[in-house]
Amino acid sequence: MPPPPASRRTARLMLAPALGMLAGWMLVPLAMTLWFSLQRYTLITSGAQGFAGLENYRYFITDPAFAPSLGNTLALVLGVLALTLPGGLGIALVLAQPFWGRGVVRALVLAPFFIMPSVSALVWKTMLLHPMSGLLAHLARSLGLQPFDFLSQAPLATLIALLAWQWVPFVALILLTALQSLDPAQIEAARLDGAGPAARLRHLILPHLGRAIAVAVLIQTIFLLSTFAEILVTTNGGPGTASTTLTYLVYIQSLLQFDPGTGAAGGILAVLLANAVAIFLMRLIGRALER
Amino acid sequence: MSSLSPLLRKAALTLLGWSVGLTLAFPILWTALVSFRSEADALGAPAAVLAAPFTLESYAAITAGTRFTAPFVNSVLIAGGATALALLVALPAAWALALFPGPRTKALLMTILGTRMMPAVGVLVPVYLLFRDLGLLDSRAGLIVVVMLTNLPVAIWMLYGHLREIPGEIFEAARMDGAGPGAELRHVIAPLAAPGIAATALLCLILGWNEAFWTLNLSAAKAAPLSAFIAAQASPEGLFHARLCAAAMLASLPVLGLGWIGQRALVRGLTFGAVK
Amino acid sequence: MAEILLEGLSKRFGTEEVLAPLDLTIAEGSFVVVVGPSGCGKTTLLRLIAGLEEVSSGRVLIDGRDVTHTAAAARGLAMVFQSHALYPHMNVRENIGFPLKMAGRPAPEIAARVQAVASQLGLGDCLARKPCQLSGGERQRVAIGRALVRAPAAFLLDEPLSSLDAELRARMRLELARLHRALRTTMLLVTHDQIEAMTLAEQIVVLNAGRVEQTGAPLALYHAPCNRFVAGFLGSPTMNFIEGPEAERQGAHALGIRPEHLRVTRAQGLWPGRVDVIEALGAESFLHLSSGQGRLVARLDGSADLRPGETVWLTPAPAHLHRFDAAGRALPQRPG
Ligand SMILES: Nc1ncnc2c1ncn2[C@@H]1O[C@H](COP(=O)(O)OP(=O)(O)OP(=O)(O)O)[C@@H](O)[C@H]1O
Ligand SMILES: [Mg+2]
Repeated sequence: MPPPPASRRTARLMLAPALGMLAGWMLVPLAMTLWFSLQRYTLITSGAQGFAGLENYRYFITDPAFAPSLGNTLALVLGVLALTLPGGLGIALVLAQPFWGRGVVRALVLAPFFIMPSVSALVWKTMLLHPMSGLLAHLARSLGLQPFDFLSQAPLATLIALLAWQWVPFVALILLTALQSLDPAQIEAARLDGAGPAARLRHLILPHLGRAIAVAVLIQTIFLLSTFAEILVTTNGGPGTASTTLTYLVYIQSLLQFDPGTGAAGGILAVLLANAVAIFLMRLIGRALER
Repeated sequence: MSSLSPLLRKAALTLLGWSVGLTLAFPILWTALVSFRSEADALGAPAAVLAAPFTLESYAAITAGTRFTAPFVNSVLIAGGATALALLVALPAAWALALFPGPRTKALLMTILGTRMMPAVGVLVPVYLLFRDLGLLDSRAGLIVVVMLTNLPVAIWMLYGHLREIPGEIFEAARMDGAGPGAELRHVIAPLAAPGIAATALLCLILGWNEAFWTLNLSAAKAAPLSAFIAAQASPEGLFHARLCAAAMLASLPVLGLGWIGQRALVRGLTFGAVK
Repeated sequence: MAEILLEGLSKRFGTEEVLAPLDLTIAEGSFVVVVGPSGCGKTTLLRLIAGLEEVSSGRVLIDGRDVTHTAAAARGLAMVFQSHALYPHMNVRENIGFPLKMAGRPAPEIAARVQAVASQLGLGDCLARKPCQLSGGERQRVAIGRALVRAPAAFLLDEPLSSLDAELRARMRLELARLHRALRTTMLLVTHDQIEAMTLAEQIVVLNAGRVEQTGAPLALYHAPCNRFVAGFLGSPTMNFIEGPEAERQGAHALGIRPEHLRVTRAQGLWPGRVDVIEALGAESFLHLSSGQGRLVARLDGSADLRPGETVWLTPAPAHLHRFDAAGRALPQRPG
């Protein structure tokens, strides 16, 4: 029903506050970031000191931490995806079958996703991984091994494990939801057609899950690119730059080294990187909207 | 698998399911266990920790002063306030988008979604400077506004998805049945929209409670919610094990509860309706 | 009870004209059926009358009162939606009782009326169920019940029987006819099912692509359709159309003859035809034939003593031969 003009005006009025706020929240600051990134600016003297051209960008890119941070960001995202996708699929396939205590198991599996990032990071850091008092250190000593200092010896890998632990429930939940929308009659028909479990997985279940998997990949990527609290709590980006990601580098430049110009330049680069992923995600979601 | 008898198969699945579940939840279960031990017992070897007596002393210690309770109250106020505000702004917007679609509706929705895809770090500098200049750093009001704004796109999308599923003819039927605007709102619109609003509120509460970029960067001592408080315990002067675990449990339990109730809402909300 | 008058009523969506300006009088207490193919604008017409859609031009009058710009709720009409539009959060009892509740009737009266309507519609057993727990047919009956429960000025029924199975549909058709006789409330029903139109209507309006093709009593339309569309739309199996030299010989572009007006004989007749298929329904049989005039269908009483492949002779009853010009308009009956 195309609304009469009066209700269209009302509709516009109802939309205005939300749209105004979102524009004010994202577009205005984004424009400011762009502006800062082109200015000579320090937090201490507080004020712009003239046009800097692309100097901030050059400065950010030639920072010795930049190349490692880009590599770390990529490794982090890919590493977590490589763990959560097969893991989440496996868990979803198990949870889709009836067994005793399934409801409780579901709650257990989902729990890591709901814990706030700083709690997860702190629990891992102090309770599990601490080289003196951590659970794994105790375990190693009881086996007569030297405890391993995960966060300083393998900071990135440990971070990947932590993030995968947080995100695997999300993937499992999405894939489980998608699995439950698969018509059981289809599976039965395939079974009658002589398809074994492997064939059913490959020819029926995975194609059905295709969209959900794509969505899980993209949404995780978007969120993982912004990983912050976990790094702050566990490694602070170190040792050195061993676990500094792009997001974390921007934070260091902006708020720790009081250099808004360079920070803003890094922020713009982070936005460009995230947008490259977001375009695919938005396309998928837009298609879902049309149905 | 098909060669197994159904009962055996179910038993095998049970074993598999439970071991996966317990493994994944182990860090949380262990945290819960340690939170019920005395500080001295908590430092022992795992077997000793397991055998040590049950006590609530770390919970008592944690909740005694304002060191933990102040950030807890901040979390409640920030997550709750941000959720209430987000709903207040999102509901009319979603309503307009769902019930009065126009040629630009889809473009608007995608723009709204786009603001959520923008990485926060891209606007860290200006937002930080604006907060500093407006005196909003380390203020609850400032955090409420920021958390509300980060949740607004999710809230609009989720409410839109729910409202769009209500066929418009239902409202027309109510009008034909003689319901005026007030009665229509009370007897038809409110009950039909309520589940969607509840699910949206739930998701906003979870996201607001767990938000850990802006809360960490824009708060110090006064307005710090739990996410910032807990993160601060990573320093050597932080809490001891048992108390830390008690704090972690208290910080997590509200969201664990809400999360369990709102799993479906979560999938829908976080995937922007692409997976239902 | 009300008379509904439509004057030059039309509807455009954007630039697309869905309903051409139309005039129609729905007499007080009458049963009018609007019939036409899918997408011809039937639902739109009802929604304009109900006040759920703004008119593009023209007026709607109920009992002489201009309601063109009156809100839906204030027009005093009851509507059964094509999609049922049941309230999903209310059970059957609450759904049916809702209009009475909105009218502020006392609870005992509502309960009694709902009970009466429910048993009349065979819904007595599912009063406590929610719409999602009902079958398609039950849902449709609840939608009808919600309209019946109050005493509206007129009923607007949008394909109210479309999701019922054949048997239930026949029963509900009778029920509607009986109801109308008892209530004498004006009813306007739209359907794409010409049997429904023929059996229920006192007056049929044939709608095609947003235009009224013909209005009149069912049998008048059946026997004297004003054009090829009406002739072909009413009646099942549909009328046989014959074009070519045979039609020209009779001074027309096309001839029309209904299956029951084709006499079938073994010997002596006008056109020879070969039997392709016989549909024997017991009381009657339909012969599908190939002839020099194209494919034809003929109706026989009882069962036919014929076999596929046999050749028979066909003779149209001259009094029932319809003639159409090139534009599809009916030509006057030829005397004799
Ligand atoms: N809101 C609208 N916007 C644009 N076009 C519309 C709208 N509603 C209906 N139409 C168009 O108007 C025409 C008539 O629609 P209507 O629903 O009245 O048909 P109908 O006769 O009820 O069909 P059916 O038997 O399938 O229910 C259709 O071509 C339809 O596409
Ligand atoms: Mg229709």
